[in-house]
Amino acid sequence: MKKAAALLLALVMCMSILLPVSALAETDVQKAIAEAAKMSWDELLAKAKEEIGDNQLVIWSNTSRVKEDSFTAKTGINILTDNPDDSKIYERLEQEVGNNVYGADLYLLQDCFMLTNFAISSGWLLNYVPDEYKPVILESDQDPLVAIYLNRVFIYNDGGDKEAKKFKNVWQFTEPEFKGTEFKNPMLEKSSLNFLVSLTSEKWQARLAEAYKSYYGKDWVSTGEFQNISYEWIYKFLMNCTFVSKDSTIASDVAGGAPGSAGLFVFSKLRSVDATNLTVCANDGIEGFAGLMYPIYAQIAANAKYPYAACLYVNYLLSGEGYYNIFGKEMGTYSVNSSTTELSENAKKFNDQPLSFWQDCLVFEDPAHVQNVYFEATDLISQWCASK
Amino acid sequence: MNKSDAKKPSRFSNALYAVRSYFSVQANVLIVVFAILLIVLTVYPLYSVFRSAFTVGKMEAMRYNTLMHTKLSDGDLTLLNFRMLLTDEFKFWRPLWNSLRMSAYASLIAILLGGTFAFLITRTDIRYKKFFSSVFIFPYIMPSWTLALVWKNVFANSHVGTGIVGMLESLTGVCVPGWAVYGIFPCSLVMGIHYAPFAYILIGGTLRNMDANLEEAATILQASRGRILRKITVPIVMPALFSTVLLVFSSTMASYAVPVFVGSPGNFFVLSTQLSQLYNTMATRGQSYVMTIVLILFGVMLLGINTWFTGKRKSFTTVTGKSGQVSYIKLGRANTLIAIILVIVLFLIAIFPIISFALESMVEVQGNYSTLTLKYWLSREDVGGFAVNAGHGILFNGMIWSAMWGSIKLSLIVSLIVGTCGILIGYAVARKRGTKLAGLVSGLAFFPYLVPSMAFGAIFLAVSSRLTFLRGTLLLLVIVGSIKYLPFASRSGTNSMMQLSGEIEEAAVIVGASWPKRMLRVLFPIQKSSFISGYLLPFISCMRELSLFVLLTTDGMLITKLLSYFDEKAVSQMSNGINLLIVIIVLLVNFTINKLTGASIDKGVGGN
Amino acid sequence: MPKITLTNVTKQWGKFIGVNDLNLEIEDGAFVTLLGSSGCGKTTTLRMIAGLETPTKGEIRFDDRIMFSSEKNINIPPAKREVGFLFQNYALWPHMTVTQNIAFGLETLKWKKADISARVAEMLKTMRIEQFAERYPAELSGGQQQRVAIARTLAPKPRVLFMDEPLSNLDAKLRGEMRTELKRLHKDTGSTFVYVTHDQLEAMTLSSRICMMNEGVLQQYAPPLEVYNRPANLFVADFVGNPSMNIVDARAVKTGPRTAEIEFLGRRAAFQANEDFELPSDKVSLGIRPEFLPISQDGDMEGMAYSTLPAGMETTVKIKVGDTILSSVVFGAIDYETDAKIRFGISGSGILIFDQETGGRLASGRVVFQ
Repeated sequence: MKKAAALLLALVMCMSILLPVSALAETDVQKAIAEAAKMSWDELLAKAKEEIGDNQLVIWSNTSRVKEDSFTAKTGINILTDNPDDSKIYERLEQEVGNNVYGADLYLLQDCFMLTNFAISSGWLLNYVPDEYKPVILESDQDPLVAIYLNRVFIYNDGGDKEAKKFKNVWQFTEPEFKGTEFKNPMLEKSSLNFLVSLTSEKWQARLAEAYKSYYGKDWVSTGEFQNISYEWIYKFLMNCTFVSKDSTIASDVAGGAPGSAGLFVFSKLRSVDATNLTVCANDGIEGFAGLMYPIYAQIAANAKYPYAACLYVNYLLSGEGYYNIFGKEMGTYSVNSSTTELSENAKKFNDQPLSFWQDCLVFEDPAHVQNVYFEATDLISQWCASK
Repeated sequence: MNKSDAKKPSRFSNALYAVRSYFSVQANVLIVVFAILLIVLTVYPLYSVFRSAFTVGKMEAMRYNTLMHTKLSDGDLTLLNFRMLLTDEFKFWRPLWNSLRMSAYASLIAILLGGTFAFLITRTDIRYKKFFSSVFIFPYIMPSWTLALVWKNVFANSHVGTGIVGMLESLTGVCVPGWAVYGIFPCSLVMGIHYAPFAYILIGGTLRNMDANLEEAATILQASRGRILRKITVPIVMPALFSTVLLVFSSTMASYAVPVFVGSPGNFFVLSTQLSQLYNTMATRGQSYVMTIVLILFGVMLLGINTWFTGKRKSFTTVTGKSGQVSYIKLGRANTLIAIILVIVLFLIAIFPIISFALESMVEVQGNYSTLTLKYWLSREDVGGFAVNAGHGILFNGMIWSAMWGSIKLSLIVSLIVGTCGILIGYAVARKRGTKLAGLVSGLAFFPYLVPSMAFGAIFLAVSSRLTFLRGTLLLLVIVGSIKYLPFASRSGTNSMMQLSGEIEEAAVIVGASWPKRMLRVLFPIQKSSFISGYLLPFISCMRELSLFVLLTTDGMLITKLLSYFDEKAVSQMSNGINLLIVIIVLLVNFTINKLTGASIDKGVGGN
Repeated sequence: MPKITLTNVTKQWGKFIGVNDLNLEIEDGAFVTLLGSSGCGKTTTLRMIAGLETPTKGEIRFDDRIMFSSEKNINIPPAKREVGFLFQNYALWPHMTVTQNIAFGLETLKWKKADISARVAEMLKTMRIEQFAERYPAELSGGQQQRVAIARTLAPKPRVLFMDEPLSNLDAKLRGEMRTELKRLHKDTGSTFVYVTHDQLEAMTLSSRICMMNEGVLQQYAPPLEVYNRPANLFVADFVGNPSMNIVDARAVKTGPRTAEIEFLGRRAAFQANEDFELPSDKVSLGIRPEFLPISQDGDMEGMAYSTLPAGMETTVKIKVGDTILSSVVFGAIDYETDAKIRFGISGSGILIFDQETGGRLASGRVVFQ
């Protein structure tokens, strides 16, 4: 008996050693975040440098743009990055923060649903908004903090005729006559999926109904087959479109394709193809909507080793300087900092518009709505995708 | 009398002796060591797969609770994953059927193409053998999707998709129908062509080693050529044929890039694409593991058929140490014709993609050849333009070269480990032929092949979060790569060892050559070429692997990661250039080894 | 040179018994042939002695040194047994030249460089293959490969030389030549030769003793002429000799310690044995070598010429008596017309009586017609 008791004791002791000290570490990171929020750039920079020394700030990011090195140039802090695509970043998050193994300090990730329900609810990620920027960021973009917005828009080949106005209405994409619009498989790309889910909100139902009436000349009437008009559009669009795996493929397919061919792809791809014959539907004033807008969120790991440096990076991202250096040189990226609306030369060249312009014509990822209908909607969509 | 009784060993020492004498045979040591090693290294992944299939994760619980009003929580046991998937026609049964068809066609195409080619090279007096032989393996060296891309570039036409005018249409005006551009046809064909070198290497190896007398004996019996082929040649290469089918079928079942490239646009969906969709969504990940189990079961079934077949039929020893004369079938007037056809086919599947890489890396605007520039190779300024951090031109790009070195280092280490293990496994399995342990080892060695790369990487990510000293290290990548590519080497090792008659080794045993000496001086040199292909295949695969390592690495560690970065950023000049670079490096390695050892991946048996 | 002793050696694979309780003594300097049809256990026996196969039970000794003992847990590896092994398929290493093939074993034995080249040269000369020294096996004919294999095996001067059907891959003429040379080699080297073959002629002509095996069991172990003249049983009698021995069913009744009355092929005759013998039953088989059936006008028996096979030096005549066909060998070339009547006799004291049930030899003697 004594032996057993001793063994048990030993076991308990071992366990207590092995048990993560996360409780303690968490408070440290939280404390750091709370403090950092109040600091000025210079204070935070000093604190971060003191904390990190010659070590690397580790950023796992859905977007590879963080490879850009102006942050290091400005602060002297080295960064190590990796950009696991789509949901793979959550895999790492679970294995790392979930097991209290240090992996990264800062995560830049997409998919509001996973972020909220998988990561934040598990306490793996912490939100950080510097006080300095609170006034210039929309409340809805603050928790979780959106680092940047990116858009995918309907673009078609006008065959050189800039006045073609081929697509005047979003319902055209569901018509057999315009079959083959290229689209990134939503089951492989969460921003595409969340776009479809967001589309089922009342706001977009109404917009679709309006467009329907304008295109078909009659009111939309439910046939009972679909829950609402959005689902009908989604179904018909999915059946009518062609799944292509990469944005760059869609871009080159449309650019090199026959006049009239269209695709829904990342706006910024315009610069990597011969865009002479490409027209962005939004500029033609398409009815319904012209594409989608999705956010990349910035979150600090609950077990971050260098929370101050991570916060510093977020500050940099939100600053006009950081935005321009990391994202803004390109088009199709939009800062949540409302004081940063100036378009870069390149953006102007491709006729990009500020966030406010897109606000009205693109389907934004809608966390509240997505949260409500996520599984019902995604199940239907995945079924439809598979049955193509 | 009593004395000898007293000397009689006890039971214990008898047992000890039995163990000792069992392990005094190297093949026994090897088979036991590998059995244990493989059990350890494959059982955990297998366990993970099964656990994930039978339990619900956090997001899955949420999904089931919402949709099916269950009250599951994270980690609960469930059969729902099975129920949901196996009752789903569109996510499971139809793609399964598509996968099976695609894999069967691809195997058939690979065997027909590779087998015919192997026959032409080893059995006839076809012209330019050396050239054909080394070029034929290009399609395997290049990532499979590059062929898919070529396919699209050639056959796309104004009646298909967005109406891009492909080469065929622009040159001849001929438009092939849609099914020939996208769907099962191009998928199977591209996979078949991609894996044809496999068939060539495996079948060619056997044919080359096969005593021509075997065929000549039949010629004397006045059997027709067709009959000889059917009754003599084919049965003798049967084991190689089966190995080919096994590898090609499983590889095709698991292949992802090609079906996505030329399948999905034609609404042709296969198991692997569905698997990756389910896998990519945490809420349906369990179902992807159910699918993995199905893939594993298919692999096990194939493996079973293979073992049953090779076990039941006599295994053919083709190198006996008694050398026969090789006589080539004279092609006569057909020689030139066949050579011309081969040149055309090889140009399309092997040379053309390389040229297109080179061209695409040298144009400013994709597809517009009037904008030729060497900037992406030679520039000492950032070539990414305003958007991307691309760094200097490829030749002066530190990022690219350090990642390339990372890839080469990893591939070298992996191929050394895997190749050596493959030979040892082959030796052990061949010597212990027919025993249960040998069956176990060759089966287990094949198992990693059946787990999709993505899932395999994820499983080892989990391992590394428990064994934290492995995290982010080269060692972890080496371990994962070694396990994943063992099947190649173990197959080729087993095949070539099986061909060596026991006498060849015994002749060295008798004169007292130690085991290492027998391996190094006798067995290895005889089967040098096939063993070296056991080293080269993992090297090639490792060089162009991404999905296996993607979760375990950080930016800049591997060239494929950089490749996908440029790809994503649509700096096609850089991605094409890197692709070209990978192909050139692999070819260089192949060429160097060829010059140094006289063996190369495309040769069955060298030695002279 | 050692004496090789096998005691109760058994080899089993699962339920299949390859060699059953074999006892054998191979004298120093002997040329012993293991003879039998394929699958009889002869190769297994050879491989066990060489150490390439581990017996299930029993003991193998070279002189007093135990090479293998299942009881004492001893198993000396083949290399330490100082034996040579000539394989059926030669097992030449295709990636080495003739010289390298021969030198390999010597290098392993750590011979000095000079000694190696001297020995290789010597072997090349002995086997008359000097001109092929730098060729690869694939560039040699079968006979040349065989010579290389022999040279390679003999080079380290093995105490015992094992040969596993070494001539079976050669054509008849070459085989004849090689036989002569092997016998010569045996004399020259003075080594013990253990030779496996299924060819009884090879066994007869080469060996000092034949070890006849069937289904894993030793049938007879004796000098060739004894095996020929006094085969231990019907199996041996039938296996050895070409054309093979005439075996005729007969009834026998003892009439004295060395005499019996026998009835066969519808004839009665007296059997006068060379020694005392017993008859366990009256059903026996009469074994008559073809050369003991001389054809002559005053022969006691009559039959029909079923077929005649002249071979130049001698002629085999197949004689049909009732339903039985007998073989007779006569010197010179004779041709009988088919179905012609032939008279022949039974001569000599080498006529054998076997027990029909056990197959064992009961007696040898002469047949006398009254």
